[in-house]
Amino acid sequence: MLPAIGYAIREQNRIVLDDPAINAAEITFERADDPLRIERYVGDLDFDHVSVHALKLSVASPEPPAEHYLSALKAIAEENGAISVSDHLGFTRDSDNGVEIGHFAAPPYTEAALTTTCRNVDYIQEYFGGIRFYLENIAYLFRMQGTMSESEFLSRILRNTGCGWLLDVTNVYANATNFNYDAYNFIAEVMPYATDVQIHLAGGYFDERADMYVDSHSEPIHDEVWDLYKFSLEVGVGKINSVFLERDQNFPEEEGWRSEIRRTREIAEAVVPV
Amino acid sequence: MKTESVQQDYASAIRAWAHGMATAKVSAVESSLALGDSMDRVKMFVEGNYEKRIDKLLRQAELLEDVVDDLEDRVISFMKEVPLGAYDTGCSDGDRFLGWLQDVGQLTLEQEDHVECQRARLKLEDVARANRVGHVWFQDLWSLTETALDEFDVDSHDRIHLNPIHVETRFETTSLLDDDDEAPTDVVVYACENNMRTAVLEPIAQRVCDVLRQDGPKSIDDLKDKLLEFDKDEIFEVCRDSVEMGLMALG
Repeated sequence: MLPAIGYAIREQNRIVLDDPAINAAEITFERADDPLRIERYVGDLDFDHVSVHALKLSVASPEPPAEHYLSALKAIAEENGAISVSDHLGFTRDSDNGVEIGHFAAPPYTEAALTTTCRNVDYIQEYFGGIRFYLENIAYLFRMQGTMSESEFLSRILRNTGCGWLLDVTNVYANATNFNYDAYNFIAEVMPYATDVQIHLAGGYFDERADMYVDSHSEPIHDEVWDLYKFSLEVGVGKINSVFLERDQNFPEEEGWRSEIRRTREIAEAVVPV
Repeated sequence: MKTESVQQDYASAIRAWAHGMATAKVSAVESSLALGDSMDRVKMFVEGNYEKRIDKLLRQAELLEDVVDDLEDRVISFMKEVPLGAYDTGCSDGDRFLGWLQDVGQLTLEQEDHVECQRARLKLEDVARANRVGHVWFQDLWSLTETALDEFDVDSHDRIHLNPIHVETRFETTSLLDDDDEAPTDVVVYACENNMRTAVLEPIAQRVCDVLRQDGPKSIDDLKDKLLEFDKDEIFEVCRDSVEMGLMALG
């Protein structure tokens, strides 16, 4: 079946959310958490797939996420008719009463991290009940010493917990570029262990001075990422239920928003049997 | 090694790395970094998060921009002393900074008023976050005000509801007040639609708010029974004005 396709909602793309080519929407929790908002975040629009994207579940932290954060996420999900919640495979804090780093860092790919992360994902899934949980592969600037590859680490989490995979295609591309591995192999290795898959697409840029690809969500999606997206659809046929495009800076004009969605849909229609 | 011990070691490592990165002591991760990975990238990561926190704190202290000349320097001093707390909601780090500023800042009364006002606004967000149902319900009720006020008179049996999303504070100077207001005075910050409003409360309005807060919605007659020191007409006028400005609603 063709995946539902749409944007991670930003105020700047609300003008196109009623486009017939858009039938999915992702709510970034920290943006929706505007306490004085009266309307629900998705307004009166209906989507086939609404997902809430979180930043602070910190699944690789030693303690499971706090109840107050989980309940706030669940409330936003229920208010907006979301059928899934997602967050990143990383850690952002040391403990519930401790410190926040400010962004997620990759855990060491070790048995201990795997055990802790799986326990936290199980806890989160139990809390959300019928709202499906997806774990996103992150783009990282550095890694900690480990005993297995990232693809093995992620695959074993998916296998052990049964959670969904939020495959951020651009993050795979960024890491593959910055750490010299094969992005296609990574996706091919993990995909068999995923039962349900969401996709993220975004555009960044290559910083010549730092000699690295920066996942800035500020540019149109690169051709290499479109190719990787097509490959993901091919190897993930029957598993991929939704695709969300992310843009956080250098926002395009209305036609720019519409054309990227059209391209996303055209590629899916060419690959996925209807 | 026993599983429990391995898990404890993992928890200790995460704590050390998180603390190191949260306090810009990047050496905490150096010995654990994957072979070939660069400390420059760790520094880039930490600096990026540091810049984001500065921007966020400056936004959360925006009212102080014109009255505290070295605001950014003070933000940086605060960040050196106080790392970002777990689950920062956006408001909590800002409130901690403002509290820290009051503790160490040797502020003028005018600056204090700006800090108090900003803290009340951040607290209001927390109140609304904790009572979203109450906020949405009240704003829905208040949206009918124009029609309801046409029929509202001193003998009306309509019940008056206090906006549940409000925070009280006090200003010592007139720097944030209108020309005809006097200081010191009690002030209420409250939600109105998607926005925040601030109003000076006269003693009678303060008393009406106190009764509504303690006893729940009341008619004008019920309020009069509780506020014997005021005329019914005075109570009615205060309620009508408060409804017009969104601090109360009729239901």
